Amino acid sequence: MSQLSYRRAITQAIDEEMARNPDVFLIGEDVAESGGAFGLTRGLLARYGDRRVRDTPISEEAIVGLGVGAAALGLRPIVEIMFMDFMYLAMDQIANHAAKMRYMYGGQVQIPLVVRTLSGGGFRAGMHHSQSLESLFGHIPGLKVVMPSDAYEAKGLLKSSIRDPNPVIFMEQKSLLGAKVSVPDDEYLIPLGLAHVQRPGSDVTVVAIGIMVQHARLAAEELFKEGIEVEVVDARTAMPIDSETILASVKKTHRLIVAHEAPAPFGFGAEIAALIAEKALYYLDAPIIRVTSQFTPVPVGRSEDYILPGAKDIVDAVHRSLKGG
Amino acid sequence: MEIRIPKIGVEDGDVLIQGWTKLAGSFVQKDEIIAILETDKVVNDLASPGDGVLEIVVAEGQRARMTEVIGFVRNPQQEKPLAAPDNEQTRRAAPSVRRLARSMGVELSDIAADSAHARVTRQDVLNLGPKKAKTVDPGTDSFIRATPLARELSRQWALDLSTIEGSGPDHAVLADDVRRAEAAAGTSSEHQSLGSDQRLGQRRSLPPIRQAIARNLVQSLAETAQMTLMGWFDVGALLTLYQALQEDHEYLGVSPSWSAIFVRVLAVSLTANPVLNGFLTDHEWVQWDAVNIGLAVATDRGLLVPVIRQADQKSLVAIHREAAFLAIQAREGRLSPDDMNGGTVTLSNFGSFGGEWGTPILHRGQSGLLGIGAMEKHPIVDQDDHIVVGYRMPYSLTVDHRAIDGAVAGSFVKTLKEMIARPTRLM
Amino acid sequence: MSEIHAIDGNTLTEIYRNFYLARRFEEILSDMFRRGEIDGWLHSGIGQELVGSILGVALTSQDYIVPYHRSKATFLSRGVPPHALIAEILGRQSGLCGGVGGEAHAADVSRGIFGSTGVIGAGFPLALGAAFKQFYQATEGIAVCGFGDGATTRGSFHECMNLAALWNLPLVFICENNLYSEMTPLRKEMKETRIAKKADAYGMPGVAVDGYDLDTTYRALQEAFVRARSGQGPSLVEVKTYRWHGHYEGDPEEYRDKGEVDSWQKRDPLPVLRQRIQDEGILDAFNLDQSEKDIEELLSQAVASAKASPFPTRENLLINVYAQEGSM
Repeated sequence: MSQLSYRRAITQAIDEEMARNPDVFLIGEDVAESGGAFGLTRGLLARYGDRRVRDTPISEEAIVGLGVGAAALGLRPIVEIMFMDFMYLAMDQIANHAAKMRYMYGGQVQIPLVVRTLSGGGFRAGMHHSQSLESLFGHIPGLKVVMPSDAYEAKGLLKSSIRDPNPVIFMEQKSLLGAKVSVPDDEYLIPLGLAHVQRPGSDVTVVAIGIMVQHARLAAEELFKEGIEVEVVDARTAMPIDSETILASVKKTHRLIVAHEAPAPFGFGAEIAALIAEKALYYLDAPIIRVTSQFTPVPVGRSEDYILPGAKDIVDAVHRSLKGG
Repeated sequence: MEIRIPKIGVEDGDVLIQGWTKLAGSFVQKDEIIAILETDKVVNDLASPGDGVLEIVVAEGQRARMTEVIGFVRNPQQEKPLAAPDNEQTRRAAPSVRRLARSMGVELSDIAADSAHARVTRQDVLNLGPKKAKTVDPGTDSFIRATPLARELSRQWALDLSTIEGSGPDHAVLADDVRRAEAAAGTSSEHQSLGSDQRLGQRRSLPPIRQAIARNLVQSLAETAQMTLMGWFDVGALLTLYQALQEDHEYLGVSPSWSAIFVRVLAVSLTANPVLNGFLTDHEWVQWDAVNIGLAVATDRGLLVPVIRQADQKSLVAIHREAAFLAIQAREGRLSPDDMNGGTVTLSNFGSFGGEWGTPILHRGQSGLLGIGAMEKHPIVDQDDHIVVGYRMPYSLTVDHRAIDGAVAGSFVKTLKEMIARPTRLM
Repeated sequence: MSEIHAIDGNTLTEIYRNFYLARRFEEILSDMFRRGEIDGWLHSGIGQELVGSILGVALTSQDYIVPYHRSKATFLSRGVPPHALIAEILGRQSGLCGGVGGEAHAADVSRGIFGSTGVIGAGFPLALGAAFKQFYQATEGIAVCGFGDGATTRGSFHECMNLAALWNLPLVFICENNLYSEMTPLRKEMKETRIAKKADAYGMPGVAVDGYDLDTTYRALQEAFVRARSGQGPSLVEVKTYRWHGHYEGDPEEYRDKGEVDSWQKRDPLPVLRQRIQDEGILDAFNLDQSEKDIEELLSQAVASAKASPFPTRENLLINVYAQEGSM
């Protein structure tokens, strides 16, 4: 075991997979010479050369589409879109082509493509550099959406994403880039679509995703002092949803809180709430509560802290839930 | 030759026949313009599909669907006129009128013929009135605020929610409130020792097939007076036959199973002594000519009973093949209702699960069911007073006691035993 | 660099067969559409079959083609069985994509045809990916991207022209300029209507040719293919051609003059090519007739076979959303 930052976990995952499979290549804006705008791909150009690690012009649609075409013909592209907010520029290639090509060609191709992107708040950079768009992509049949909650998760999930035969939107949590956790020195993989009970508890279930898993852990520690046992479930992937793990937890605690950084309407929390309403209504002893950002764009500067949810919001939600809503 | 509205663009929809440019009955040539069509978007010319005499079906000013036939170009030498189109099918109405009729549950064909000769109007539909209109009684609002879990617990413990004081927001009843009420009432001591998870974890809805099986079993017991005779069959001779058949397996191509052998035993016995091969109505006994043996097959969805028809007229090998095929169909869920109807007596081989005796329940509409258990060795004393190894099989024969007395049932057991003792009668 | 020779007799015959097959295919499909036998749209490529007919003879099996929605001639000349293409257009199980993709989304990856799409201009990035694959694996193959004039106003065109040139990818952009972007004439879509000139802006050669003249079209395409194959990078070939039918079948075509259609139909290169094959003594009229009869027979069997194929089952419609681990 060694302490590894989220940032280096990503670099290591790409490095190991490029070493393992010559079909894996990396393209994106500033990924090669400069080692990535935030140093996530440092050292890879020197190691693998400019055939496999390539800087691209600012042409999101072209580079994602290049990845889709190359993936359809057997390569394993990793395309970096610097900020998730720029995914809109490549939306046609992601939503209409990466996601649908296998289906529309009757199974003739598969699209083993990873689109890596920084998501969420943390840089205080405002509405065009801070969004979490997992529910847009989770809504599209054919895509998988991954949101790792720490360095250990990031490494194991990214390696699985690169090996997955489907297009994966990999959302790196920018406020976690410097956070270190213990990571095994040996190789490991975390399968996509398997949620993780981060902390067991019997009173309330908190299903969290991405950065919110960290807030949920802090909240659970705080509540433990009051004698309240919170079960924290790290959803890991917004699609596929591990309904089995989530249902089992809610059947045990009878109370559910869902926490994500994106706004509430049509979000991941709405989907989990629907799952419980459909499959476990008669186990609920309190209304489901969503802890999310406000329904506004993310403002610049420290105003961000007011808009985005945190551990305190989860603590409050747990108290409300225990009182029956 | 048909004149069809061509498909114009991608949208389905109506086309207005703005006008026919040729008179009905006039001679038209291929590609000559014969009509002008109008859609929401465009006006199109319609060319004649061939040479001949024009017959108009859909008149000027009317609408037609794309690809619908609106007329014919007839070559008098080649074509016979078609029969007049059925009145019901050609009843015309604007789409909005059709929708109205649908929403009111009115069939357009119900509209009186005299008003339908042209087009069914909105008024025609309204005149006929709503057939299926329902009014909803809003009732009184007696809704009790409670969480789903609290509701579920109160239902399980037969507690009246309205009598429970709620501790939630606006006095909503929570699960703990119900648990407290239940503890106070002391009505469910058996639940006390169980955790709340266990109380809730046991519900599972039955698949439809299981529900049907449950219904049939209960009805069978309710409708008849069932009696089960139990005893042993000495199957030494039958075992010899069974072993001979196994050895002859290459020649026969199959090795008949015990089930197949007993289907045959049952069929031959019923021919010799048909006392069970029928059923009782309220006032008469009805006996079947055919001997159709139902064979109970265990599947993961429940017990299914496909039928081997006229088993008395089929060889052992044929019965075996059919039984094996039906068992596979049953396990793969491919049996049709026909495969399971028409049985007269049923065989159930619970020996294959190691069972001995049971009180099998009659298949509805039948008067006999033979259950056989697993074969075992037992000591017998032979004519020379030596103890030798014998083979026996437990049986359980259920009959409908309303029609069949103990003595009659006993006579059938005797017939069975004779057949089993002299297997050559099976061949 | 290998030299571009005059077209030999065998090649001429093959192009003619491709052309005739594609023409009859378009006519038959158009009739079927009018009779209501085809669900959804049909975008006829009638009048534009020459480019596709050439692609079948001028590319190798290693090359990739990203077609566009009028490229039926390309599919056929590449050896796609007509029955499989018709069945796909009819949405039947025996179609190229199991009847799920339909006209605009048909592909035959085994024959290097993929990247067809219902979104105009979306093929550029996909073709870029195909060319990148050839580069990445240092193969002898190239990639070809077909599109219409209407797609050149998309941002993806400009992003991909730039990137293909920048990375010197083996990619040939073939614009079939049929003068109309769906239902709007070119001059209302762009100030600079000389599409080939746009290549200058990205540092690649661009050439415009008369798409009703076999020799110049063939030569321009071959030159571009040779360039790409020999590591000299991408090119843009603008083939000026004409769409005899509307944007879609049933289009009332109020935006253009019947006289314009007639003037192009009078220049139809199909009978010209037939005459040339006879004049040059490559095949006589009897052989040509025979060849055409074979094609008619092939097509009528194809229609019958496609119509006999069932529609996809519900189960068929629920698979292939995700690939399973280790599938393919």
